This record gives sequence, C-alpha cells and structure tokens, in this order.
Amino acid sequence: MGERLHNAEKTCWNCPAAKLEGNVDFRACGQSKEEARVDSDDKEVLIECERRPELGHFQPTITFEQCPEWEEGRYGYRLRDMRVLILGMDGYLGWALSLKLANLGFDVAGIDDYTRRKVTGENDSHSVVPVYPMEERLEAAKEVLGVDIDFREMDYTDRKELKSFLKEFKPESIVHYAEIPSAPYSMVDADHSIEVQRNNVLGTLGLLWTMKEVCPEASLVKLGTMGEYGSPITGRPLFEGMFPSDAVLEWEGREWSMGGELTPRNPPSFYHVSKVNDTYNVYEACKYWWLRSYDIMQGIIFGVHTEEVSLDPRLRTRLDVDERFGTVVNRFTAQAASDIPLTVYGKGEQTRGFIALEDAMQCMVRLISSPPEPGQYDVVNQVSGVYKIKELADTVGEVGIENHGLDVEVQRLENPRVEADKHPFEAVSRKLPNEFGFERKVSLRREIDKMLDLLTEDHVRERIEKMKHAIIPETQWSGEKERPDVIEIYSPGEKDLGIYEPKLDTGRVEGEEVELEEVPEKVAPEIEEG
Amino acid sequence: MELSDDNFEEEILDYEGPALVDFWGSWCTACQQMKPIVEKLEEKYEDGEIKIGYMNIDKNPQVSGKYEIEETPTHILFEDGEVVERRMGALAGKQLEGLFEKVLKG
Amino acid sequence: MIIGLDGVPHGLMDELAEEGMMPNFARLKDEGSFKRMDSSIPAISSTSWGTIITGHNPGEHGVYGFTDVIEGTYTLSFSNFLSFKKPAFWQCDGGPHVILNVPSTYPAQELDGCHVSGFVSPKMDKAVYPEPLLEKLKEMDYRIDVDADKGHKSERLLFKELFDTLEARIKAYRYLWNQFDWKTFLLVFTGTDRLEHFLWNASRDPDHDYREKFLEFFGRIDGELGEMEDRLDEEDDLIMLSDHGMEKVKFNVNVNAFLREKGYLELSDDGDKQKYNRIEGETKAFALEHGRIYLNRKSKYPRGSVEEEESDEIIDQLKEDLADLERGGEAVIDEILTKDEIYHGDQMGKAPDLVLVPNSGYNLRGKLSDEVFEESPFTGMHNREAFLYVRSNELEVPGSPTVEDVVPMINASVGG
Repeated sequence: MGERLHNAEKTCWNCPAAKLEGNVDFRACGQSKEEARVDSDDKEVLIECERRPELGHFQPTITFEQCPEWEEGRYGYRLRDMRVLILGMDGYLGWALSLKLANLGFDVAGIDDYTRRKVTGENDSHSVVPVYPMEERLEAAKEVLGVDIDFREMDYTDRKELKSFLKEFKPESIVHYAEIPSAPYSMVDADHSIEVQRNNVLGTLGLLWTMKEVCPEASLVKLGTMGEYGSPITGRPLFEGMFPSDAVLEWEGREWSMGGELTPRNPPSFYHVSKVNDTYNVYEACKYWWLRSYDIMQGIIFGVHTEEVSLDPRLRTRLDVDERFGTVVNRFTAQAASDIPLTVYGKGEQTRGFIALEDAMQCMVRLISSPPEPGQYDVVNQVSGVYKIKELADTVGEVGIENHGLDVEVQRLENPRVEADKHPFEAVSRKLPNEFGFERKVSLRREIDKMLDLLTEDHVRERIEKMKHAIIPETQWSGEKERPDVIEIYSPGEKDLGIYEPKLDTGRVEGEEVELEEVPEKVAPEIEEG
Repeated sequence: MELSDDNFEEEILDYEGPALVDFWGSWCTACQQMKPIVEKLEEKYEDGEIKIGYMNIDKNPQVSGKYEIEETPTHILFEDGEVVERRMGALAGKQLEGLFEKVLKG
Repeated sequence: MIIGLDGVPHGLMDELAEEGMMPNFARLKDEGSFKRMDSSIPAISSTSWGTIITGHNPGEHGVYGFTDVIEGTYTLSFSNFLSFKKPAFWQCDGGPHVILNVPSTYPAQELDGCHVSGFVSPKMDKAVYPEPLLEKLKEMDYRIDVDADKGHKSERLLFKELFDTLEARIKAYRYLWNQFDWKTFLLVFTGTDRLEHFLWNASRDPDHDYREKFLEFFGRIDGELGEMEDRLDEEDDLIMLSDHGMEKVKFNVNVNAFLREKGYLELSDDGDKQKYNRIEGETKAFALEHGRIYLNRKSKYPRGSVEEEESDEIIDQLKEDLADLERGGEAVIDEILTKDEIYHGDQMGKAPDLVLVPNSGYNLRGKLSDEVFEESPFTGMHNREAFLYVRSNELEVPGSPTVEDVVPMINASVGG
C-alpha cells in the first residue's frame, strides 16, 4: 500500500517494555502537588527497556519505526513476540482472537473456566456450530497454523491463581473477554443478576489490583459495550466515551466545557450496568496507578467467519443463538435457517451499532499493537454499521429467500425488555478508522449469506433443532418467566422502517466509499428429489 | 505549537508579545480534550496576534517545575516572557479566548 | 585493595601530600610508586572507569561517554553497567570481591562477594547485590551520590551533603571489610569529583572562602586512608587511583553551536521534536559532550545523509574548521583525533568519528544551543591528568601508565 503504518510514530511511551525510571509525576488530574519541583538542568524523563537492557537509561523517544523490537505487519507495527493474555479464551470472541494473534506472530496465552459451555446447559442450549474440546482445539491450531498457544483452565476471579499465572507469563497486553455478556441472563432472577455482577465487576476490580501488583506496564484491552450508553431519546450523539473538547453545557446563561468528562451512561439491563461499573473501576485504576487501558464499546457482534476459524472444523468458534447468549443477527440467521419467524421485539425500531466478527478481530489487533500511554484511559466505539432491528430482519429475510430459497417470515413480539423501541440514533466511531487504521472489510449481507451456508448444513440444522426451545425468549425484565405474545407476522420488506435515520459518524468524507466483499450472484438451489 | 523543556525559552520567554500556554498532564483526560480546543485557537490566530502553545508537564519536568504547575490543566498567559494571568481547569474555547482578549485589545 | 578517588588530578594529590594536608598519603607516597596516569579519551567517568575495570579501551567495551545516541534513532541514552561489552575484572575470576561505589556499574549484577554501584543509580534496590545488604545500607543512611540540586543551592548545603555521604560511605566499607574473606576490595570515593566540580577554585586560591572546608574533606579521606592501611597486611597490594583529573573552567563551549554556524548541523524548530530528534537530513555532523563528533551517516541514523565515500572529505573539512575555533586569540582545540587513532576493537561502529581534545579551561559540551561560549555554573572541568599509586612487593608499574594498565596489575596481584 505504501502508506505509513498507523502506529509508526508511536514511541517508548506506548511500549510495554519501557520501564519508567526518573521523573514522571504520578498525579491525578485536578489534584494539587505538595511542592513544586526545583528547576534543574539535569532532570530528564528516562526509561530502561526490558527488552534492550544494554541501552542503559534513555529518553523514551524511539519510534516503533526505528526500534528493532517493533516489526512491520499487516495491521501496523507489531512488538516482536508480544505477550498477549486472553481472559476467556474458549469463547466466541476469545478463541477467534487467539488464533488470529498467534497466526500473526504474537505470543499468546489464555485462560477460561468454561463458564459459557456450562451455563448454556442451564436452559439446555449449546453452540449450534460444533466446537471441540480445548485440548483438540489447541492441537488443531498447532497442526493447521503451526502455532503454540499456552492455555490454563482457570477462573479469572480467582486472584491467587491469576496472579501466579501473570507472574509466570508476564503479559504485555491483557484482553478481557471473561465477562458474562448476556442481558437476559442477568435478568433471570436475583442469583443470576448477582452472579453476573460478581463475575464482571468484582472480577475486573480484582484483575486491576493484580495488574498493578504484577504487570503495571501491560495494557488492559477491555471489552465494554455500546449498550453502556443506552439510546438517548434526544438523539444526542454517542461520543467515544468522553465528551469532545468543544462540547459545552449551557445553563441559565452560563457555560462550562464538558471536554474530557465521561459521557452519561444509560444501561438497559443489569449486565449492561456491570459494564458501566467496570468503566468506572478501570478509569480510576488508570488514574491512581497509571495503568493503561482501552475500554472498547463494541457494537453487537455477528458472524462466524474469520480467516483462521474457517480453515478447519476443529478451529471453528462457537455460535450461540439462544435467547440468553445469542446476539440478534446471529439469532435471526439461525431462525431463518430453521423456519422460525424472526423474533423482533416491540416496534422493532430499536437501533444499535453492529460489527462483524472478522472486523472486530481486526480492530482488536490494531488496538493491541498500539498500546495506550502510561495512565491513559481511552474509549473507542467499535462499530462498523448502524441498523434498526426491523431492518436487520428484512435483510436476513431477503438474503435467506433470494440466495438460499428459504421461507422466511418476521414476527413482532411483545417486548420482554424495558427499552425504547423507537428512537433516534447517532453513533460516533472515528478513532478506529482515523487513529488505528481500521478499514471495514465485511458487509452485513455477505456475512449473513455465508452464515446461512453454514447454518443450512444438515448437521448444523440438527443442532439448532435440539436447542430450538431456547430460542424464543421467555426472560422478561419484569422478572416473570413467560413467552411474550405475538403481535403480528409479516414478510420481510413489507413494513416500513420508521422515521428515524440511524447515523454512523466515522469522520470520513461523504462519498468515500469503502470496498466491501459483494454477495455473489446465486440462484436459489434446486430442491433435490429423493 | 507543541512546547518542550528544550524550546520553551526560545519560543515563549524570548517572545515579544502575548503567548498562551496550556499545561496539561499525561492522561488527565480533561486536559487531553483541551488540546483540540487549543489547536483550533492556534489556527484562528495563526497570523500571530497571539502565540499559542501546549506543554505536557510530565514529559517536561523542568519548565513545569519552574511554574509550579499544581493542577492540570493550567493556562498561563505570557506577555514578553512575563506571566500575566493564570487559570486552572478545563475551559471552553470562548472562555479561553476571554482570557487573552484584553491583552489583544489593550 | 584498590581505592579510587574520582576526579582527583595527580598534581593536586602531590600538593596535598607535600603541604601536609594529607599526611597519611604523604607517607604512603614515599613507600610506593606514585605516577601520573593518562585517563581515557574523552576523560569522562563512565568511559574511564569502564576502561579501568575491564582493562579494555572503549573500542572494545563500547562506552565512549556518559551519553550516546542509540543507533537507528536520534534518541539519547545514558550508558550503564549493561552497556559494557566486556566484563569487569570481578566478573572474570572467582572472588570474593567487594566492589563499592564504582560509577557506571548500575544495575548491580551477581558475583562472588558484594557489589554496590556508584552514580548514576536511579533505584537503590537495583544498585545492591546481594539483596539482604540493602537493609543494612539503609540503616547506615547510605546514599549513592550527593544531591546536586542542594549543591547548586548553597555551599553550606553542598558540604553537608558531601560530608554526610562520605561518612555513610566510610561506615559501609568498614562494615563490609569483615563480611567477606575478600580477594579484592575496590572502594571509590566520588565526593571528590563533586567537590572539585563545584569548588575547584577553592583548591587554587589560598584566600577562597571555602578553602578550609575543601581541605577538610580531603583530610577526612586521608584519615581513613590511615585506617585502611592499618587493616592491611604487608603482603597485601595497595593501589590508589583516579579516573581523570580536574582543572579550572574558563568557558563552556557548545560545539554544536559552532557546527551550526559553519553549516554542518541543521536543526528543526518544530515544536514537537526534542533534543537530537531536531537533527534534519541536511546535517553532516553533530556533537555529543566531551568533544565527540559524529557524522550523520546514512547507514546509522534515520535522517542520515552522509555516504561512506564522503566521510573522509567531511572529516578533513571539520578538522580545518575546528582548528579555527578560538576565543580572544587563543585556540580552543588542542588536538583533533580520528577514531582509528585512539580506539581499536569490535565496538568501533559506535565510536565518534572525531574526538576533540581541548586546550586548558575549555569545557566541550553537547548542548544544542545557539551560543558557542557560555559561563559555567561549575568551576572545575575534567582533564586527562589522573594518578596511579601502587604499594606492592611484587607488582610492576608501567613507566607511563594509562587506565588500561590497571586490570593487568589487579590480575597479577590476585594471581600471584
């Protein structure tokens, strides 16, 4: 491409191998210092490098481009053999990311206590894409990709064990995928609700303390969610975590800058609340201890394909489509493949940000490769498209009907959730494309199409059949266990989508179109006789 | 413009005329957000009525020590190298301009 | 036993002995061999101590000064113990060794014995081996170096710092003396260098306000020398030395300002470039402190522009131009040496292309300043006039010793 890599100009300030000796003043924003420093010609900010101790002490000004420890790679400069620890490595995102990172040359380790596998058993559900036991997955990774991934079975909330592993592995980056990411699960009853917050909030808090003690130079790449923000009825744009510098609050003729303050949060479930609490815990830890973190407000994830997982059936990552752990596009696609009318809740004009699995993985690699500076807490909105639920149902339906000869219908159900089902929506996602070089590669239609290829295979269809009972929602936010009533059933494309136009602001100039893979021309398959 | 321990004397102390310096702390998010405001002002006043600069105090311990920067962000207005005014806390663009308007007029 | 007095010139030691300020040393002087020793080029602690403890010239140990520019970048680094490409003598042979306060040996490394590194040591706990020794040192209120900030504030504070540090150093060596059945004991006093930098004039001027205090400091050290002598046996070899000498500063000379004037150095005025990152592509040569000149080679630096074929010509030009550098009719530079003339070894890639040896009083600095000549806050600057004292029944001392000759003597001493 010839273009400069996005992180070429980053320096030792961003690198986890830099040990800050000398005179960096650890002080929280707005806090007063006790005494002013004496003016001295000799005071420098100096570091030592863990990887190149022979350099002695030096100024942290070597760029990634200049440093021999940083190598050119597909997604930017990459720290040679960078040690990345994935918490929740057995999961939907964790497994896919571990393969991608290992394949790119990162030194990958991960932990998991198989919560997801166990917990989906509660309502007799399972991954509709067959997934193999971790041992076999690791063997397959070695065989197919030639990579060694270090895995330990471990509960990340067990601080003693976690600390011990962190001391051993000395991660330079920690990806936190170890939360229970289900809104309905957190609304089932008190036990479930409390368990979600214990695992997520207290687990993260413990992780932060442990990082401070063992590996404070590692960055915490934390999965948050766009859901933290909620969907303000005023149509206020969803900024990336903090108000931009020129945002101003005006009241009674007086004005204040809102620049840098965390934006208001309005989480729509106890699970979402746990993410909001995480945000504050991580924010504080960065302030007190100069930890570094990216808090990733990820849009709703969909898709099952990445370059790595598609190489071998043993490398496939899990796909949940039940009411608790399934995400909406994946659910609709599975519903289309198994003759269940697509379950739209309420008016269906809820609008959300979305991102495909392969695109999310690209974002993660870019973020891991470009660590924050000491003390930096930064938020990115990891979103590549914004859609209304109704629109998604139409899209899945169209692709299913036109390309796969499926009989797809849409049903609107009484909304089991408490949320606005019709609202304006404007999301800002500028950092990933502009600062981290992210380029969206996956089109919604194309991924749906590929998913349908997979989900209409016989053995997968069978697996969907077996957990079908868990697809229709029954977890009401009110606390009752009851399937909602059907309001109406219709064909995709029949209904209008409503007045609000969702907006995604990527900072790109109008007309700068991104090339996406096209959905191939397909004729609906002939129905085989016999 | 970005200021450092190295160029502060040349750029601000030796400068004849008004200069506004925004002192910010590493990873004080409010300060980090001030930077684009300051940059916008830089553009607005690029004809040089007032020189505008920003300095990270943690990466530049000498100058910030000299001015006893206690809170971040701190904005200091210099004229001919002398301190004329100081203000602490995040400011909206208009408020920041208000800080040096009198100097420009007077 | 090896006693180092950082920065003390041969001439001063001689004076202090003759004038009765250091009676113990005066006596020792008569019992052994006392000679002038040539320091390294340049005469700076890191390079000189590096040569003293490894027995190799900078072309082999790779440390040419206090600072260096990291290859492939314009980032300035400060060398430390891990930068040396040759081992110290105590790492080559079984001890036990007691190594106390040698500059540029941070972080302390494992050895048979103990090691407390000297300046610059940012973190005490990495300056001490073995670990348990750290507590003991803290109890003695041990510190690695004087607080230069206080020194700049007032002479009173400076002397308080100097004496406090000296006493703690003495407590430490006395404690360590009996902790190990040592083969070599290397103790360095660094307060001497600090004192001379600040108050060299006090040693020259009999009416100086602080002359008495200055002499008192050396007197204290001399007192301790007597102590140490008592603890030693007849067969023990005693070596005393300094790593470089000191002389009066007339001016600080910012060589880079001169290079800029003559068009060799182009610097960017862009706010976000700091220090040597300001070097622009058109630059032919830049200077680091202590008279080291480096060509902006294409093969070494990100914005390097000098091709191999050009270098000889540029060096010749530089030699000509630098010979013109003068103040009040006096030439600033005494000698201009190329790297091949003074260094040899496999670390030549890092060597400066030229090393300038100044005339007396001209302190060559690496600052990126506009002013060629500047007043110095210090009164003393380094020179090559170190000293070497040896009292031994067997050791032979070379006729004109240099800092490279120390390790062979140490080896001969412990071997024999």
